[in-house]
Amino acid sequence: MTNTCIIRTETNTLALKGKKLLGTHGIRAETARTDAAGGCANGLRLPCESVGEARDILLRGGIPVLTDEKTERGKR
Amino acid sequence: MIYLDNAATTFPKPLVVTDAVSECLSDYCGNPGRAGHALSVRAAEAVYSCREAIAALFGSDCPENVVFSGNATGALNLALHGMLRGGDHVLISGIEHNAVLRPVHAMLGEGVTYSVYPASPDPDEVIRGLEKRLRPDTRLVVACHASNICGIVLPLAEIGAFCEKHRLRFVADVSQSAGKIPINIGEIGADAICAPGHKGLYGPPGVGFVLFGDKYRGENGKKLRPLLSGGSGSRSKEAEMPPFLPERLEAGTLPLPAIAGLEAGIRAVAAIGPERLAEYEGELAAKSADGLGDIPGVRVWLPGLVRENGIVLFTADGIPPEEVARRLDGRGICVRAGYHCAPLAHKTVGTPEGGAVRASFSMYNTENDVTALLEAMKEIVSER
Repeated sequence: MTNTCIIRTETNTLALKGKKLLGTHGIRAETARTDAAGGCANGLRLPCESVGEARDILLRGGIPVLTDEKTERGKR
Repeated sequence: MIYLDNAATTFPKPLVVTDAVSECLSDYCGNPGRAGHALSVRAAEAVYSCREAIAALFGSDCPENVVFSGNATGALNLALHGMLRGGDHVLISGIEHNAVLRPVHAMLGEGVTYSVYPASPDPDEVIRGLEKRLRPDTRLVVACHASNICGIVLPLAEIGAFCEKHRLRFVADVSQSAGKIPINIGEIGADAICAPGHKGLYGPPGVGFVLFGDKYRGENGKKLRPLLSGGSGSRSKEAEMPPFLPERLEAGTLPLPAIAGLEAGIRAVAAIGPERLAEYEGELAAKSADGLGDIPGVRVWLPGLVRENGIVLFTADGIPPEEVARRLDGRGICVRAGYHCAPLAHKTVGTPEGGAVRASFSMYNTENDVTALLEAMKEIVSER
């Protein structure tokens, strides 16, 4: 089973934009809700091995990325 | 029935719009952006897809700068309230709809003041009018792109350049031109363009939008003051609205079925081509204006401009406009009479007390509709 990670974005809309952007670079991600920052947080769920590349792509695409990533073992 | 009130709202809608609304209601009408379950996610993706279609239509690569509202009035209130503060002076054109005049007038109590600059298709005349009214405290210019009563189309690019030169914000009301006249938000230099979904974009009533310019990207969204505050689906523990667009300005549940229908409408318009639609509707308007102008006792206002946005404004000697509209309705023809929520525009055109009658066309009208209008007006005038 592959570990998945969540990259946090500021909003659900930016998560959706990020998902599309990552898709154009061959990285499959899904929008996610997380309990980070006390709840009602948004982000992208993707394979942990893609996190570094994905963060770079998102930042280059003007999508702010928050630092508190979360790892979910064995999901996906 | 012959429907010639398309400047109020287009009817009928393309079947793809009806289907999109129906599919949304029956298959995926969850609450977008509020949860991680499948229905909410699909709903959010539908909303985002419509944001993309709107951004693309107006040459923006910022779908997140599309903020949904209930209609164009909501969009204009949102933009004006977001940008203006007490002490600011605003310049609004002589063809503005009450959707601009009334919000700005209501802000007098907050210390906002406004002046009206002359509306004209001549760019030089418009810029001269703006320069004459420019004050040290002027902060914003509003321009109605295409009038909702006549063919006056304001030169947005020139107004945008004027605003850039004088460091003014620029709000364009494209309610009547969206879907007919190509508009690129970057090329016209607008801070915001506002439109309804249910007119030239053929969406259902219930949704409008503001597309904000690049300068409001990211955390710059917090420069905009929210008109409404409430649930946004994010940062729920915080008492303030989030700083990022669109969530900053979208409090409460979005009208998902209308948004789904709007996207279908935009794609239908794009498939045909806005210019082609404008040409077709302009041709019907021109034939109407020519025919009406040939009827003794009927006056067409600004007949030389009717091709610009497919609207014909006319009056009949001795018959009040609402009475003309009532008699046309009795013959199965839907038009709108009065001031069309645009007293400034009527003053600019110079219509008499009571306003005028407006016939406005869409892609679904035909030359037979024009013929029926002309025959009906001949009868009505002969009844005097």
